[in-house]
Amino acid sequence: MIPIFDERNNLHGQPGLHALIVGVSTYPHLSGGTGTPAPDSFGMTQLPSSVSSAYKMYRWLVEREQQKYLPVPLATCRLLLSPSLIEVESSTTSVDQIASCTLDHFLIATKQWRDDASTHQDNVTFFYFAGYDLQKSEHEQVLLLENFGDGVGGTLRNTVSIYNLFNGMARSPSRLSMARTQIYFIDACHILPVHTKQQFEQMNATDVFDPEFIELDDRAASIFYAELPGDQADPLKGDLTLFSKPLFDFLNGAAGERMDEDGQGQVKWRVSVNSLNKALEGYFKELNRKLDIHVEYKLKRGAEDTTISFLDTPPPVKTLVFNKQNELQGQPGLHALIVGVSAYPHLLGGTGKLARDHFGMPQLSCAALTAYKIYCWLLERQKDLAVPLATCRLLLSPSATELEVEPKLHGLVDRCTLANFLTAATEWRAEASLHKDSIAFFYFAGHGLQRESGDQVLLLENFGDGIGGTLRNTVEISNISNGLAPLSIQRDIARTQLYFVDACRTYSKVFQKYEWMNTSTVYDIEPNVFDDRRAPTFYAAVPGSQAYGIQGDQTIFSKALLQCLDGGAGYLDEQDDQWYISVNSLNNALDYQIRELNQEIGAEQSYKTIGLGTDVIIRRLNQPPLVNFVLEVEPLEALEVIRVEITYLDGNLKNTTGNSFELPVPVKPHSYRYQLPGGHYTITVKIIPPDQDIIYYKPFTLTPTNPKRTVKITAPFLNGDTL
Amino acid sequence: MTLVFDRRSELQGQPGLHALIVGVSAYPHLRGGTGTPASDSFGLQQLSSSAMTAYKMYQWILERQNHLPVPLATCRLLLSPSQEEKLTEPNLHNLADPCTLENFLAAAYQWRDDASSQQDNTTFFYFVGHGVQSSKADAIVLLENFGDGIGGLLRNAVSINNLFGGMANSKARPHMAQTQLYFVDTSQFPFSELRKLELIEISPVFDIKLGEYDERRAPIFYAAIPGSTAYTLRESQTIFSKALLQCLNGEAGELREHDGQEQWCVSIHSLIRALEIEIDEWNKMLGADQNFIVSGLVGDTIIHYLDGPPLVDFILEVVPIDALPFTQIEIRDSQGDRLFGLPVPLNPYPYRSQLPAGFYEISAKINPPDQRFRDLKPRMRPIMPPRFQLKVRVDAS
Repeated sequence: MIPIFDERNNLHGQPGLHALIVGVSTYPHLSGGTGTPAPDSFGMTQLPSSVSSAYKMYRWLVEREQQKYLPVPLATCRLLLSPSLIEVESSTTSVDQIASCTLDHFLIATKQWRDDASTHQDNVTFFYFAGYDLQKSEHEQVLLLENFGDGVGGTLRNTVSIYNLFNGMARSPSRLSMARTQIYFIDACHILPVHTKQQFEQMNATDVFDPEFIELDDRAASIFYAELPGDQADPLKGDLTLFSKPLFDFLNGAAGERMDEDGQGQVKWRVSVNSLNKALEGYFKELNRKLDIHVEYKLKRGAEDTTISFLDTPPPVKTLVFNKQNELQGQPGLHALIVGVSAYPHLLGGTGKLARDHFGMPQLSCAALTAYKIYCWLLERQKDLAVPLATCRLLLSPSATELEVEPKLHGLVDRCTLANFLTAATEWRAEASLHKDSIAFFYFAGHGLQRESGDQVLLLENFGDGIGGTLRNTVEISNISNGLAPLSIQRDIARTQLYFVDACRTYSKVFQKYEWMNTSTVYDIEPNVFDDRRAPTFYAAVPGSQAYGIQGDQTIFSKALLQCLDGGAGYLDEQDDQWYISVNSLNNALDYQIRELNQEIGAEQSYKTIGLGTDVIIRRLNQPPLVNFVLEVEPLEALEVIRVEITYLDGNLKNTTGNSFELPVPVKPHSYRYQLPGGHYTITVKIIPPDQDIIYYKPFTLTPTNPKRTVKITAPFLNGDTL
Repeated sequence: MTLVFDRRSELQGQPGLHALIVGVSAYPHLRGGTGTPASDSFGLQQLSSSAMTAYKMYQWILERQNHLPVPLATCRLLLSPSQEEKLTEPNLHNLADPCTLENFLAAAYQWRDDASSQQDNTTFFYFVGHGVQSSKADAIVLLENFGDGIGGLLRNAVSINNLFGGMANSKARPHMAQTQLYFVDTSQFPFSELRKLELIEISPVFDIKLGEYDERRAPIFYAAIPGSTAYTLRESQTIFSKALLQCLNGEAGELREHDGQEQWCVSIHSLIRALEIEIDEWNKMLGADQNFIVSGLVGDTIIHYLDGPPLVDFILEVVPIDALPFTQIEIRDSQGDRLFGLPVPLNPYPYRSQLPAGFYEISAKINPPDQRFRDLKPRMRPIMPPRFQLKVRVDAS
């Protein structure tokens, strides 16, 4: 059988990549096929897109070869296709002219493929199968070839065992130069024939290779295994298999990872076994959750990471999780950049090599979840903001715990490496520069450091990766905020900008070891700029202190912030009778809410703001915020002899017949607590008996940050005197 | 003489407020000055009311010394008045030492020593004079002998960041005042010439220790945003100081309840809120475009107690305007007792008057009745500082 691609002669014995690609859509003996029906078809029917995916995989390899992106040159490619009629008709290529995937063809092709693979240990093998597979036993799956169920021989005669195929490709005494790097993709529609399980275990698939003694299997061999339950048609109804769709996206760059700089200082990007696995894992977790299906994806073996393909550019950064710019047609909007980093591979407890200067910092438990909650809040409140939400960029590096708590974090967005952050920050600024009346919103949750008084260094995921200076994978908040000033290149940049830095500001003696440690520059800063922005920075920690989090939940700062944004920072504009949240009201309320939270959970979270000035509205509240009203009476003896009435001056109250209600006599419990809408009230206190003499009357404004009133009754009234 | 007020002995170690107030109008080496012209004056000239402004701040703090959260303990004053200011206010003669670098450094050190005697102390810093922006994150203030030709260009200048950083807690000063108020009443112009220098050396006021835990409530109020001007009323005082004093005297008043006692006071938060409105009023009046910004470490605390409810400007308009000749507005106190009726039609219009802060019942009657309009039922409203503006809506729809 002649390979469809053959460059062996031109390689002159140099190592190369040998591919075997198989796609079976047509099974003549299964339901809907053209042949004699199989004695037992296990409910299987024809497949819609296995050949399309297999053929695309072949094209992908050839293109990568042309671009010289494969780790070794493509030497041979063997292709076996059993297309459906639709695939034949819709294909621009003569897929029906390619050898079909019968058992004989498969056996010939695999033999030749193995022979080629075993010519040089630096060869790479590449195997892709799209079609049906059957669960023969607990540990063995078999691949169904085109003539499965032809009635000749045993039921599994036209199937091959993956185990047998894989083991046959190992180095053996007769094949000492077998390719050490082997990559397998099993893109299968999976059948589990429960009712004949025991029978099945005794049935035999056809051996592809004779078993040989394997002394030491030191291959870097990885099997990417995806099984779509056979009783579910492709839920996405596409022209490619459910597995191959994301696979091509990821191979084309979406699973790209940065490599070390080469001798010329050039940075290379690649897709590796590990980066592809990480991407596929996240994708299928999210897909299963979203579509309520169960695609089983796993990487078998894969202990050693190897390059599958190089990339010419960094992978496209998937950070833009919300984009309504077209709809807004140039109108001002809010542009958000939200970042949450919990997983730091190079800090204590991380999965990577420990950073030389790790500052004693461990993994974080809730930074990514916090960022996600901030993002969700923006989405929920997008229409109540001072300007509508236009774009939102999100970068998350979640911890394993966070992924368990919130499965939506799987593969939602890209991780917060320096490269991704720089890309997102550049795009974010460009969009914020389109309209002066827009709002730029920045939130960072993660580790922070302070080099000198007043600065704040933000640590990104790949902090401490050992490449470049210690602070290479960090950025400085003032560089970010100064970079969004009305510079000459961005005269129309948003004049309202909100920065939230939910990170520690601890100083380390490590800084004393060096003359100076530079962070990475996000933006170049122009001097001498007239800066008329309203751009406060809300810091979750004061210099030299820590920011605290609630494990698996969110940070204290973000909890207080969201409480404030949900109404806790509400203030009533008397002129238009409307409740708003503004920068100044948020600042006032954060002070209050953080104090309250500290008391509630025994934390010591501090908080400070810089850059306040002219106030600006952040959002409008649709109704007055609910306030936990607290009333106390002094002295306590008065409780027995008074009747207290609360009257709401701005409308009617729920659960009452009008706009007022009386507290129980005596006031109980004391302190008396009741949830009321913010606004204007009066407290009227009458003495009992005779129950009509007012001894205390006070109008007041109830706001979330001023929820408590104390009624002081003076001594004469306690002796029975009246007003 | 710099220490113009000293009550430390009387306070016997109790916490107090320590003020350092600086006003520089006369710059001998700038244009119009009496000394050798500076080699590079950057187009700066004499100022007309900085020393007077500083003097007014000093007077205010003296007057209100017993209404501060902690009593006034010390006040240091450095003044470099212009001739005109001395003529206008003879007290400026010899009241305080001129604000040269040496005097400033000495005063700042003594001020810091006093401030660091108690965590419950409060510090108050006010600088009015020339200022420039060295970088986005810092402001430099120019002292009297700026441009004297000795040493580097900015030898007679100090950095606000350096001053601020040096006032933080440190191992050497563990009891530093945790409430600190800074007011920098200067323009914030960048000197493009500074960009030509390899390194800008400014005289350090303090050495700053790295990595100290800093939980100060220490806002820095800058009278101007980067790249902009702080305006002044000639031979009177700066707009910023005028607005600030108005706010401190009541326009930033808020009612706080503490242990069942209500008290009118000015806090950092209420000051920020009210300053915006006051400065905006001055901008409108003078056609200026001054804009302040608050940096440093902004946390809330009470900074001044008022004697009682402050007077509040209230402004009323009638909507629709056609109803103006028929609308009789009545104001009652919170008990419902009639206080007064307003003229019909409102005159002046919009109607502007003052009332002590508090709750009032406002109603409007259409007289004679007109189908197009309706009465406004009595409704209790809080008339609170800094302004109360109400559109009295009487349209029948």
